[in-house]
Amino acid sequence: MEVVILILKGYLLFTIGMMVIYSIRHFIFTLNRLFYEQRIYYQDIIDSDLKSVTVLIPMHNEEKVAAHILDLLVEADYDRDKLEIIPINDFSEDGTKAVLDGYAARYPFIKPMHRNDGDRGKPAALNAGMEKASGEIIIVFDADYLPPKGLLRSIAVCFTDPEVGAVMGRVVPINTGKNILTRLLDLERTGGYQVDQQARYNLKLMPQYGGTVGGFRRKEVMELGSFNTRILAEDTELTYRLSINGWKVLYANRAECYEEAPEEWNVRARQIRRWSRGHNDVMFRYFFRLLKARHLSFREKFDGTLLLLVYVVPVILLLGLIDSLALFFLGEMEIFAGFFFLIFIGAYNTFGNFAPFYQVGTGCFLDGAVHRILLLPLLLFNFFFNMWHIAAGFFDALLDVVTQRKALWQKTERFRKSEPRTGT
Amino acid sequence: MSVDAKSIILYHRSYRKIAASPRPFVLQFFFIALPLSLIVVFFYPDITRTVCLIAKEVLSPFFSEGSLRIVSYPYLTGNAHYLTLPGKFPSVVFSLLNAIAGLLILLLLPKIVRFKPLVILGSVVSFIMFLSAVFFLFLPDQFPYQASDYSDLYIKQQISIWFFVPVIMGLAVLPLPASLPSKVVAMLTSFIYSLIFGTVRYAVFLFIIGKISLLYMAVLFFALGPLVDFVYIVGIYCVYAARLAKNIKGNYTLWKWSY
Repeated sequence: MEVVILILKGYLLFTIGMMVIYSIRHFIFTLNRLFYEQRIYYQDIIDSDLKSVTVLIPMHNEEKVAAHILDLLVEADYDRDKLEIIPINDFSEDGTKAVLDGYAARYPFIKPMHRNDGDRGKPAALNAGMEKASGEIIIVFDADYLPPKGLLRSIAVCFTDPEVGAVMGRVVPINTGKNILTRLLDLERTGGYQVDQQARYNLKLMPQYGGTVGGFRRKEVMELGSFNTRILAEDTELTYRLSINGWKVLYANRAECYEEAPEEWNVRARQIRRWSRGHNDVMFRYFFRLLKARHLSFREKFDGTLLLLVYVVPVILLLGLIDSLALFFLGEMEIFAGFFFLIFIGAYNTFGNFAPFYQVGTGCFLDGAVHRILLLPLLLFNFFFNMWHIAAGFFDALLDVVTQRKALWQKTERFRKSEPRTGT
Repeated sequence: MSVDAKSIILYHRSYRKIAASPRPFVLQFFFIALPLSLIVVFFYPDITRTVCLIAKEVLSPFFSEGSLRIVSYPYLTGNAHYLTLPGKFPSVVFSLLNAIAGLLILLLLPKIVRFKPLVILGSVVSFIMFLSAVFFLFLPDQFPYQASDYSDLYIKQQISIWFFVPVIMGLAVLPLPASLPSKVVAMLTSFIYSLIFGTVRYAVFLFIIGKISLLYMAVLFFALGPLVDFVYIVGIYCVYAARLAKNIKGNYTLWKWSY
């Protein structure tokens, strides 16, 4: 029994150690974002010779939202001779095909692609889209996104730098005021983009390409093997694959784009479980490759490892809770009295939402928000919710690795209330 | 473009930062946050004794004379104090009822409550209650604690909380571009609140495990323990930050862009 207790105590100390490392990391990010020099993106470069761009929009049953993104993209401030838009109709069973064909009839640079055989899901759709694309740069949007007029130019301009492999813009929920869930997701996004991503960009660490509102070099990514259709988090995988191969991934805080955040808890649960499954799958595949990477500095590797482990942390915490309960009933309550346990509780309460409260608060503050900040204590609820579903996603990924089963792509449900439009 | 028109072109939020150096923050941390924490380090014997005296005064009508006693014992660099009290051991029927209640809540909560995060939080709490009840049902002799053990643990843990509240609030509040007096008020508010809250909770918890049942010790510790302290810390922080954000709206001298 003594050995068991020793192991349980050791695990608790390990959990505390992990939490302290993440808390320090996020505090550094917060201070950096508040006080230090902000590394601006390339948006001020005026370059008339921008590269040709293909916009890929994977769509599966997107008749509710397809017309909205296409309406905005045809208004985009980008040379028409260098722009093509490929909405990829991926096995849709609703009216998506009719919507896309309607737009294709009106705009020659919209070239829909209808997929009805082969692998399903976003990575497979993107691979098919890249095969058809002619642009040097691929810009990806999910179908529910609403890109402003200058966004394509903002994203594409950084590729005049030959070191840049991919870029990520800022995601802003458009339906924030819908309910408490969308408000809390808005807080998470604010902390994640305004502070976390920008600080990582400032500190030359590893900003993450997020799979939408972002771009990458088509030829180079295809040479690296395109997207792995067995991985659900193709965005995280691309971040690590490019970084390990010597490319830089940038973050463009100025390149803002609206998205529709999930409005129902069940939908959010499935989304975050899928993210966790995909991200952890990448973690299993890239952990050692990252450590051995020749092109990355020590701090890039260190932060890259912490980023890679970000969906493991809630699992560590959940096991830490179970571990604490076991120690309690084994009569080892004394360990809970120490300072360390408080650090654990504090960090667990604050980090569990992917960002401590002070980081989210700082993000809101920099955004000029007032009332949103008052919702911060409610993140406690989100924390338990996230921990539960992320842990489920982790074990999904573990089973995927052990059994070599293939994960099936699940689309996030849309909530926009509008009649389908055909674009004609 | 005229000079006037230029003057109203505002910084975009993307790369704005506050027009201050981090040095004042470091100084404020050392001169406001740390002294509050040091008050705990140097005066915890007196603080814990006061807390025990208040709790004893509040609880004495509910316990027999002489059953509540303040004990002093060496802890860290001085003597900490805690209240000893008799605990109420749960009967088999009481444990059984709690196990059934815990299980029922666990099963029914997802059907009754639509707010999913509350379901998960409630499930965690009811699972701990169920686990504790089952423990008392099958291994009553193995329960390793008396009520006084919990009282002792609470005081030790509370010393940690009182120490860390100024540290955490300092890290969160002091970097913000607010006036020094307002920061001092926010820091003092959270510190005093933690002292009062810790005292009130101590009396309530001791009443529950002394008069209702020892069975609730685990739930009190895991669900209503240090976790709740962070709710008021974040609460005070968010009220302060929101008021500040409102007050500085339109004050463009506060911001810098990029450099």
